[in-house]
Parts: sequence; C-alpha cells; structure tokens
Amino acid sequence: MKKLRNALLPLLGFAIVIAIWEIVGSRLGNSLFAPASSVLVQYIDMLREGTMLNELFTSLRQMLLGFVIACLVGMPMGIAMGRSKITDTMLRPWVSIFVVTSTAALVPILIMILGTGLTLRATVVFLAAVWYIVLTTYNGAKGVSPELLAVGHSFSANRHQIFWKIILPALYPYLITGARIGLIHAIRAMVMAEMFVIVGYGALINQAGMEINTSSLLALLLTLAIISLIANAILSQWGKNLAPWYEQQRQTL
Amino acid sequence: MTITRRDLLKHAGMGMSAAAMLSNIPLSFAQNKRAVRAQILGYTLAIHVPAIMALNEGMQALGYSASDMNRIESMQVLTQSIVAGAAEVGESDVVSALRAGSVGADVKMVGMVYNNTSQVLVVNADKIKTYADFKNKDNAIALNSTGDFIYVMLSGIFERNGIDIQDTTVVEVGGSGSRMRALLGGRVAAVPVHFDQAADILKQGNYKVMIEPWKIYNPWLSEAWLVQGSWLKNADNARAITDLLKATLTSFRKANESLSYFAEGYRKYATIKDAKSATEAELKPVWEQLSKQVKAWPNDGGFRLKYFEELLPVYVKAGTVKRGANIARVIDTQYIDKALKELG
Amino acid sequence: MPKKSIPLLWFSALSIVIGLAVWELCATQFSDFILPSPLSVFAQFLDPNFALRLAKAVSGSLIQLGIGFGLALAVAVPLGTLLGRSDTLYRMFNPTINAIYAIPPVALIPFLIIWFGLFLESRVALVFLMCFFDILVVIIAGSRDVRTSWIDVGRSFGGSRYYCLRHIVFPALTPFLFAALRVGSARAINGMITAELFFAAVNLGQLLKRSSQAFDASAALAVVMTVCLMGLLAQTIIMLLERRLLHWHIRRS
Repeated sequence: MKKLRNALLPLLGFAIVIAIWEIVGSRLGNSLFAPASSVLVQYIDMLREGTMLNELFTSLRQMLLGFVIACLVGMPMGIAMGRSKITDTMLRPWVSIFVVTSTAALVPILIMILGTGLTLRATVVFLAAVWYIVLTTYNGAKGVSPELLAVGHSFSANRHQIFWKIILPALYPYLITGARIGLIHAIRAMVMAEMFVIVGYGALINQAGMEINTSSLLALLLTLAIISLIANAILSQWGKNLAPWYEQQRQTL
Repeated sequence: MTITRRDLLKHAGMGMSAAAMLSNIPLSFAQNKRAVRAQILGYTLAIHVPAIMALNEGMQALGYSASDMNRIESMQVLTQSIVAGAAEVGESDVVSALRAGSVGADVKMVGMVYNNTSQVLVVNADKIKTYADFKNKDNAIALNSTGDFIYVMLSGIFERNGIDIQDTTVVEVGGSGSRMRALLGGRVAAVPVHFDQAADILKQGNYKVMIEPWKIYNPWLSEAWLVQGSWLKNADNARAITDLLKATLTSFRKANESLSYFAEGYRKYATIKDAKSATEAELKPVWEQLSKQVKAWPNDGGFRLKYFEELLPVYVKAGTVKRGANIARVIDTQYIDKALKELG
Repeated sequence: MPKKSIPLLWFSALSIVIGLAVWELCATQFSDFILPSPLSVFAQFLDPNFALRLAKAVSGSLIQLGIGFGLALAVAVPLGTLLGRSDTLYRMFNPTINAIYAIPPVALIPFLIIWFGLFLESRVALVFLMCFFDILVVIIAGSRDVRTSWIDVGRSFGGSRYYCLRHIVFPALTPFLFAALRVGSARAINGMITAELFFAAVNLGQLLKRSSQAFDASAALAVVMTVCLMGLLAQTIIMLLERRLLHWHIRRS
C-alpha cells in the first residue's frame, strides 16, 4: 500500500504543475508561453524527427567528461579542505573567487584561449561544476562530529580506518548532494557553452529561441528536465545501494 | 590467438597490392588537401548564403577541402577570436574590426562577406507612427550593443530624419531571440531583424517595417572577411585568402545569375526553420530583393577603400570609431584586386 | 611544548601570490588582447576614472543581488524545511523541483523578458531563479537528514511537534543552512552579473560589455575580478557568521 502511494504521489505533483502550465499557457498564447498541449504536439513531432535526441545524447556524453573530472578533483579537494586547516586557508580564496564567476562572462575569454572544440566545452563544464562539489563536500567534511571521531579513536582505529569507516559514511549525504548539484550545473554549463558556439543541444535551443512559436523551445527544455530527473534518480539509487542504513535513520515526524 | 606466418604473408600480400593501386591514383587524392579554418556567425540567412557556399563548394572547386567552419553566436566574440588567432578567417562586423585595428590589434579586412545589409527595423505600429515617437522614453529600441554596425546605421538614419539617437531609449540586449520576444511581449517598440525573419513577426500583430537601410545608404558595409595580419605574411595563407576571395566572387556572380544556385545553397546552409524544404518559387522574392535591390552580391566584390572613407564620418559621429583613426591599416585590398585579375 | 604555529593568514597570502605568479606566466604566452598580465589589470583599479565607474556599477548591481537573494532565502528556507519534514509533500513535489532545477536559467530568459521586462524586475527574477533551487535542494536534504533518534529523544521528553521543530529540527538544520548560504550566495552573485549581460545591459554587465567592445581586456578582466572579489567577500562573511554560531558543529582542531 505504501509503495503504491509512493509511486502515485509524484504523479499527482506533476499533474498539478501541468494543469497550472496549461492554464497559464492558454491565456498567454503560443508566441509568449505555449501551453502544455501545444508543447506535447510539438514534442511528438520532434521525437519522430530524431534530431533532438541525437544531439542530446552527444552533448550529454561530452558533458560527462567535464563532470566526472569535476567529481574526481572536487570531492577530494573539498574533503582535504574540510579536514586540514592549512589546505582550507590556501584553497578557499580561490574556490570563493571562482564559484561566483558567471559562465557567460567566462566563455568568451575561454573561446579565445581554447578555441571552440571539445576542450572548451569540457573546461566550461568542469569550471561550472567543480566549485559546487568542493563547497558541498567541504561543508560535510568540516561537520563530522568530534564524538564520532572520538569513538573511532577509542577503538584504536588507525587514520585510514577512521577515514573510510567513519568520516566517509558521515560525508555521504554531502557527497551525494554535491554530485547532484554539480551535475545540474554541468548540464547547465554544457547548454550555455553550446549556445555560444552553436553546437549540439545548445544550438537547438538557440535556434528554437529565435522562433516565434515557443513550443519547440519549451519542448527542448522539457527534455532537459526529464533527463535531470532520470540522472537524479540514478544518483539517488546508487546512494541507496552504497549506504542502505542511511535511509533507515531518516524518518519524518 | 597467435598470428601464423601464413596470415602474415596473406596480409602483407594484400597490403602490397593496395599500395600498388594507390600509386596509380592522381597525386591530389594522396595529398591532404588544405581546409581553411573559418569562424562564422551562429546563424546563416539568405544574404550570407553565397559567402558560405564559397567557403565550401567554392573552395573545393579550387582544389581545397571544404572549410572547417566553427560557429560563434556573438559577432563581438568572433572578432576577438580572430584577434586571438583562434581561427584563420572570420566573418566579422566591420565596425568591430575597425575598432580592433584602431587599438592596435593586428587584423586586416580583405573582402566583403556581402554588401549592404538585409536588416530592417521592425516596429510596433501601435506605438511608433513617426520618427518623433522614438523620443518618447517608453518606446525603447532593443539592439545587441551600442558599438556595432546596426547602431551606427540607425544613428545615421535617425539623424537624417531629425532625431538624435542619444535622445532615444536604446537598450542593449544580447541574443536576437530575446530581442524579438521583447518586441512581441510589448517591452520594446523596435527591433532590427533580417528581412527574411521579419515576415514571421509581421504576422503576429500590428508590426511594420519602418526602415530599409539599403534604400538610404549606398553602399553600406556590414560584414567582412577578417584575418590576422601576421597570418597573411605566409605565402600559402596569402594564396588561400586570394582563392577564398575568388570563390566568393564566383559565388556572388553565380548567385546573381541563377536562382537555382542560390536556392540550392539556401536549402543546404540557411539556419532558418524549414529552410531545407524551401522551394525556388518561395525564395524568388527574397532572391530578387537581395540581388537587384539590396545589391548584396556585387560582381566586383564591393570592397573599396573609398567606401570606408565615405562611411567613416558616420562611424565617428556614432562614437564607435575614434576621430582620426587610421583605417587604411586595417583594410587590405590587394587580395581582392588579385582575385579580380585572376578571374578576368 | 606546543609547536609555534604559523599564522594561517600567511598561507592565504602565499596561495594568492602563487596564483598571481601562475597568471603572470600564462599571460606571457598570450597577447594582451586575450590575457593581460595581472599588473595591467590592477592598474585599472588605480585609474580614478575607471574606479569611479566601477564603484557606481557595483552599487547598482548590489540592488538586484540583495533583493533577489533575500527573496530566495525567504521562500526557500521555510519551503525546504516543510518539504523535508512532510514525506507526502516531498514525494509529490521533489521530482518537479529537480526537473525545473535542471533548466538553464539562460534558456528561460526570453520568458523572463515577457513576464518581467528588461530592467530591475527581470534581473531580480533571474537572481532569484538562479539561487532559489540550489538553496531549496540543500535545505530539503538537511531537513530530511534529521535523525529519527533525535526526534525520539525529544518526544520522550514530552516535546510537542512544535517543540521538536524548534529545538531539534532547526538547530540540526543550521549546518545545512550555512551550506545553502554558501552555494546560494555564489549563485546569486553569478546571477547578478548574468542578468546584466542578457537583459538590458547596465552596471557591471554594461561595463564588461563596453570594455570587451573596446578590446580593453584589462578593463574587462578588472570587472570580472571585482565580481570574484565580491564572491570572496560573501564567502568570508558567511564563514565568520558560521564560526560564531556553530561552534558545536565544527571540529575543534
């Protein structure tokens, strides 16, 4: 019974949102904000035509390159900064400086240095995602409670064991949240960079942005939303597989 | 699985016979043909078609590979990337190029991508009935930036109609999609678009085309092929540029004569929705307008120092180029002259 | 005998010096139009003309930053707490939130123009959009993270639902709140300048645009650097606030 309820609730949420969308869209019209019904028609057309999905998967593949590197660099960096005051003071100024840099302001400069190819796009994705991963992980690493560590020490666990058996599991929610936030920013940065160099999925969005009828633009954005949902679900599932005990501990009032 | 001696001999035998075949093939295939690296704008409209065809089919006919084209959305970034040497040749805004030259960048314009312009000013006819209506602070014009050729063009035209553009409200909005939505949403009163895009907007309500610049300026210079000066010093590059200009001239001439040549290129390269299925009948009015009225594709390339000199006061007045700037340094006509001579 | 510890400030300074040296090295590889040397960028700040324009631009940009960020916090914190504590609402709306979160705000700009125009309202809207979901996601994660055991303890002491909320949930949320502030402030500052590049260009965005057009790379980088320093300032303020309020969470060194 509970499983059925859990499966139905998201659908109910979607239904409410789509209803609002349809109402607002019908009032404003296609050229200002196409309603869900127009977008659906357009969506089926675009699926049949195939370009949307083709470009999407190519772009996503390329985005993953930058994202994975961002995780591989960002997570250790955040942990190191959280556990070591020296690393923290040395790296934090740079993290704070780069995290606010607008991708839109940076891309033109990067184009001049790196050209318009895959290196540019992977770099933009990396630069957009890594700081969020670092910041979220850093918060987690700083927050590991002294009590937990004391327990580890009193059982004469060595540093290695303390890290893997106490610190890392405590970091778990922050790592997953960091990865999710990082992924979102990676996807966004991918689209932004592609809009600048008119390649892949970003190019489709650019093109759709110039059409009078907003249906195709909304359709493209809808696909992005769906992809994000799927990616989130995958990350959450991984998380559950890695640490099943975590879900049990969290209950609601 | 190990390779046996028999396998090895078999493969070697095949390899040798393949090599024998290859040696009979003419040299041009065995060599790597050069592909010019070009930076072009994010959109290709009707007016750009002959130039883009020159980069591809035109260069191929002269013995090169089709050009390696990279698209960049912003004309400003495009010009900057040529200054930075990120590509060999770029489709650049004349005014930006002049400005780059005047601050000491080592760039040269060598030929026109097209002449005049197909941009028109679409206005909300409810709000703008005469030029004087622009003085109303609520009637804003959305442009990409106050430094590009559209701004300069408008400032000159406004002046001729008794309006100082500084008295009007100009908002700089990046992205032609955003500007168009701003017009349709009633947030601004006027937006410049290419006339092939304008048709769709006019259908959306009471909008009209107020300014057709080619009827006022003759000629107007919008986009030119831009290269780095140091890149030109290499003889192979100089040859490549001369060939590109020959291809452009040939393409211009063919476009003027033949609707089907233009239509074929349009279907292949234009980035407008439904371009792939455009018929010659549909394209005829656009083609005629561009070829005969706008004179976008002059048979002689339309690239003369004196055109720039005539327009310089307009650029200076609009504040985009400094008074006394040495524009001759940025304009190099020797390659187009050579191309013209070689074509006969 | 405790080791004499080098003041941490020296490490920050060292890190900055190293960074500047790397920049200087890279700058020699590129022309001044692409990557000017640090010195020429600093010289911009000393030019009274430019410094004045910069100061005016900053004060203008701060307005949409303040309003947008403030609004986002005011809405996201309560909403996030609620969604984290109510399993029903969470399951209903979390997928939708993740879906909208994935859409690059830059792609939504044409719609923002229609609904909010080209000036302050739309800039505030973009700042709001750019930081709202990031804050919300972190608060939801934190709100869901509250351990059942803690609630049980509260209950066993006869605490009402309100009591538990106020004395257990909110304090437990505080580390997540700071994580949200870190990420949110970064996004808000990013949004502040992106808005000025994509709507009617004003303040810092306009200054950046004009500098780029004039091919004055030093001025352009000076503007970017100003934004970065604003980010650094924001992160430092948050860190100081956190230190004062959260002594029990941070590991004692």
